[in-house]
Amino acid sequence: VNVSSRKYLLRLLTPAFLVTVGLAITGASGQVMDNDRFDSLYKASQDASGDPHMANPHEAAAMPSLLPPMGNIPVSSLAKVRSLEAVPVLHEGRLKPMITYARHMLLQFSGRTKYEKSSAMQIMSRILFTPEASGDYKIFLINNPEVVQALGVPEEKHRRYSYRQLEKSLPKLEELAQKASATADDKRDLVQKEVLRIFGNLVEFVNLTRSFSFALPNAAYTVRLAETKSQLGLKADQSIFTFWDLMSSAQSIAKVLEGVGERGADQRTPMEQEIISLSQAMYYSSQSLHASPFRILPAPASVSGGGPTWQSPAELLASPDQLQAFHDELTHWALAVSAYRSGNQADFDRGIKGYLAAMDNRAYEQLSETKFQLEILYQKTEPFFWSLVAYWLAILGVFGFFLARKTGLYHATLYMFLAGYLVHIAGIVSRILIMKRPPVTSLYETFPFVAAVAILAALFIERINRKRASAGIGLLCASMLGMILLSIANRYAADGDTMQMLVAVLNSNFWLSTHVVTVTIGYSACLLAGAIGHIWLIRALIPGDASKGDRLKEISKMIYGTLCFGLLFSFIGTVLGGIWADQSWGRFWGWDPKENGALLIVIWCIVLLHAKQWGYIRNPGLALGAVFGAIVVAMAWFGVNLLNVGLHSYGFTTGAATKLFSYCGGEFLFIVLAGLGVKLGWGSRSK
Amino acid sequence: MTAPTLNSKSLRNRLRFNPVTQVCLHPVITLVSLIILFALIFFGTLYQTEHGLFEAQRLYFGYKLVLIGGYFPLPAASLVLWVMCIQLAITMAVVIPWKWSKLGLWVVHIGIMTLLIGGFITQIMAVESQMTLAEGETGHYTTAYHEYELAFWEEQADTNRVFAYDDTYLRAGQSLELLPYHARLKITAYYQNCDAFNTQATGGPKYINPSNIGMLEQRKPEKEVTQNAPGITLILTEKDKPARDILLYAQELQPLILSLDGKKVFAMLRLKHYPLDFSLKLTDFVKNVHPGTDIPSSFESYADLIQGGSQRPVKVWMNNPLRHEGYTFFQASYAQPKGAAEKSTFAVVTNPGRVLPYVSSLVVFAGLLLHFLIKLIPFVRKEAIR
Repeated sequence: VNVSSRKYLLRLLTPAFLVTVGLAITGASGQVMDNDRFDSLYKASQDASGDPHMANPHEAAAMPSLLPPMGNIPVSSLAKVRSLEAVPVLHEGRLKPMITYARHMLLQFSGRTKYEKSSAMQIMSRILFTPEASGDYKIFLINNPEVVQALGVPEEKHRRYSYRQLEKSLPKLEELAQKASATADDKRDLVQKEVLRIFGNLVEFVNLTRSFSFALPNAAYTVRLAETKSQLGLKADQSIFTFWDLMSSAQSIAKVLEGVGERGADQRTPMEQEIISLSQAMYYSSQSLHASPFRILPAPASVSGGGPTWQSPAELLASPDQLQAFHDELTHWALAVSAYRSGNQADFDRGIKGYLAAMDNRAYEQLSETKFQLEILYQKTEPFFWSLVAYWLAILGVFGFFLARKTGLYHATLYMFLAGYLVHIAGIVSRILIMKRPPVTSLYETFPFVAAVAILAALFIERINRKRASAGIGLLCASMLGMILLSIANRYAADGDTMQMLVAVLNSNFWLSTHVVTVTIGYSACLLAGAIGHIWLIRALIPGDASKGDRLKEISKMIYGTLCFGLLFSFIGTVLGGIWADQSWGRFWGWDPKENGALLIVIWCIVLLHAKQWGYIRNPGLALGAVFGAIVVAMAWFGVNLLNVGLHSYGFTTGAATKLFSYCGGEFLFIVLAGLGVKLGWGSRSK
Repeated sequence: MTAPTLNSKSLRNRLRFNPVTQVCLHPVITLVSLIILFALIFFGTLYQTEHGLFEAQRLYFGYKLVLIGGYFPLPAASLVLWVMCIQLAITMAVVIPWKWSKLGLWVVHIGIMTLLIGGFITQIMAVESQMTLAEGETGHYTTAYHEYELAFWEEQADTNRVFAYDDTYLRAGQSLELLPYHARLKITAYYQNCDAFNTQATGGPKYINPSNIGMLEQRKPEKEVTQNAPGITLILTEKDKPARDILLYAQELQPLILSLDGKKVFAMLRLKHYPLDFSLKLTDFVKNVHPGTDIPSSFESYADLIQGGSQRPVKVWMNNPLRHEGYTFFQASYAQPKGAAEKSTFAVVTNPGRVLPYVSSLVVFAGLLLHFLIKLIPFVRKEAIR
């Protein structure tokens, strides 16, 4: 075969060519289904999901059966999908291993990273490879009961619904989503936001199920005649094939079609008729399969305009030259999908391995920038979760120590706490290495970091006081703060992938590592001072023995020292923020709510320290002031995001507002009661 | 008998224990000032959400009394800061002991003083303006964000002989001289924010206006002061000529053309212009996004800086401004209109005090660290002995 005839053959391989010939023969019009219907909704659900590159849900127009029908052959699935974990997926601007992507998607759909006993990876594999069997998973969380009622779906105890349950209500949901999307962003109520979120999730789910349509058996590719099978080299014992099976026989199909073109319709053999219908079906599929969000193949420069954009297998099918270019990768995937569906582990792993090897060649530069192995480890081990467990146990241990005063218990608690803390630090360090940026870049990341710093300071205090009457106080503060802050972090992690790309103004490692880090260290210290303040007040209100006075004095010193530390870092952090603002916006100070919040912390620390120094307040006043300081920190940390003005209002949810106000209310009540108690001398009786 | 020598220590002591100084330095004043500042910032921030930053800044961070919640009067932040500044100065002059152990405190207080002075200089001397350029366009001046001016000029290129009154002069009833053209203006109305109509007010004068605006109607000023659209009506009188009624509205794109003193003169109510000694030509604007998303990863403006006969290429991008002759150009905004050249907006700032916050922060940091170490080291030593 010489070069020109090879080129010719390659051209024959394209479904577009096949159908051009096929259509010319049959005279059928090449009309592709009308997909405009979902355009506006697609836009709205994009807005709601915050992911502008969610796939186009045109296919969802063909309601009500959006998932492939269950065929006669029962599909199997594989439990071991480890080989898939490192498949690179471009999502929200970042190349991430599939395990991160799968967990993100399942969190986005269901608010959890597991479904029943299956991991996110197992669920994602089933959605991708056996979509017909994934409609019954109850993975769609509907928070708002009003939405459930509006959709007319029977209410589920755990607020999670399957696609099949919601499918019947899709027209209604679509109508509601249309109304919600017509409302301006800031005017949308909770129900409307929830409708858009759910609609976006369903659309994304359907698109995910279509990612590997090319490798799934499809009734449109039914081959009845044995003659056709033998002509096209297809398996004789099978009647329903995949798009990719037929693509592998493209040369034979083209050969038949070319011969047919010169004869009239009445002169065609049944085999020729069948091949013509098959080629038409292939064309329709290739043109109506739209983008799926599962972007696992790097687009060549000609498609991406020079930039590093990735695409899903479904996107490739519409473009013949890309189908050529990615022939090997798609073949590996087709093998893996078919092996998955027939329960053949070895072939599945071989397919994925082949694909990964091909990718390693193709996207070498981009992949060498990633830290997939570390990220997979991070995702699988969930370090912050295990630290949280350790902190809970430590709280119990410290209380046990306070009651029993056994040194052995103290040491056991301390070592278990330290083990948890090491895991916590390992989690933060992994994130720094994976994202190649400083530890705090989003509201989520402030929690583990602030916790880590506060714990370090508390451990320092514990070290100083370990042999004194107040031993255990630092450890208690450390474990309480660790527990509270990591629990909040856990809630925030439920929003999806916590390793997100940064907008332009934040995209500066220098300022992130200076301003943000120092200001959050300031938060940590002031929170710790608040925590110790609580302990002082509670301790003061409980009757104790003769050493109680000494203990309280020691605790007061801790508060004072921690506040000094807090003032130092809050001040520097605030000023560095000013300098960053001067560098990027042209003014050192702009009375932005976040700036003001940081300044409030600084002023409050100055007031407390000076009032104590000058004798206007004594130890109880200092403790009460430190507790109030924790409220100031909470307001500065998230309260300003509530105001919805200024340059720092990001990452806040309505539910969090209620919790914040409850916290502040509770603390105020505590301050009033504790202040009153101290004033009235509660707890001053000695045992 | 020996002549009395000036003993600085005793002078310091005498001054320190002087009753006036004692009152001025009373710690309660400091604490109350700090608490007032705390309250002002807290309530000012809340006020900002309802009434906009400009209004909040004017009320809470100015020099007058502010009524918190409409009832509770507090002095505004600048007043409080002055009180604290004076206290700080006196404290440094007579209170903080000249001891090595107090070195940290000295350094901190010098730093805070520098910060306050820097803030004051910025408050009175900094000028913030902006410049929007389309690709290929050259800018010779910057424009204010919300301050307007009534400008008259003879050539379209407005750097040539502009005669302008800024909006502090623009008040109803005010008479202004238009010296270069031997004419006089009498302002009949000036609205900080208004709507314009093509219809004529019944019984009102017939105005000369380039956009056929016949009437202005006052509106409540907007929450964001930059969204206001001011308007003015005035009577222009020239010797031996009939008076002319003129109306100008800030949202007009075309200037009014007048014949004054035999010359063709353009008039416009426009955002205040600040001419530059150099010019900036935008050659290209680039917005980069994270792959596969619309999340911007950077905004970059490529421009030529032209001064005298020389020209050099410059790049302005996020967190990396252009500094030239006391001006700083920041990448602030952009527009990508369909079918037209991309536009880039720079925030332009001149601030003689801009270095002071940097200096003062370093000084305060060094001071706090020093003080912290001076206190911590003996403590840790004592602990080690224990």
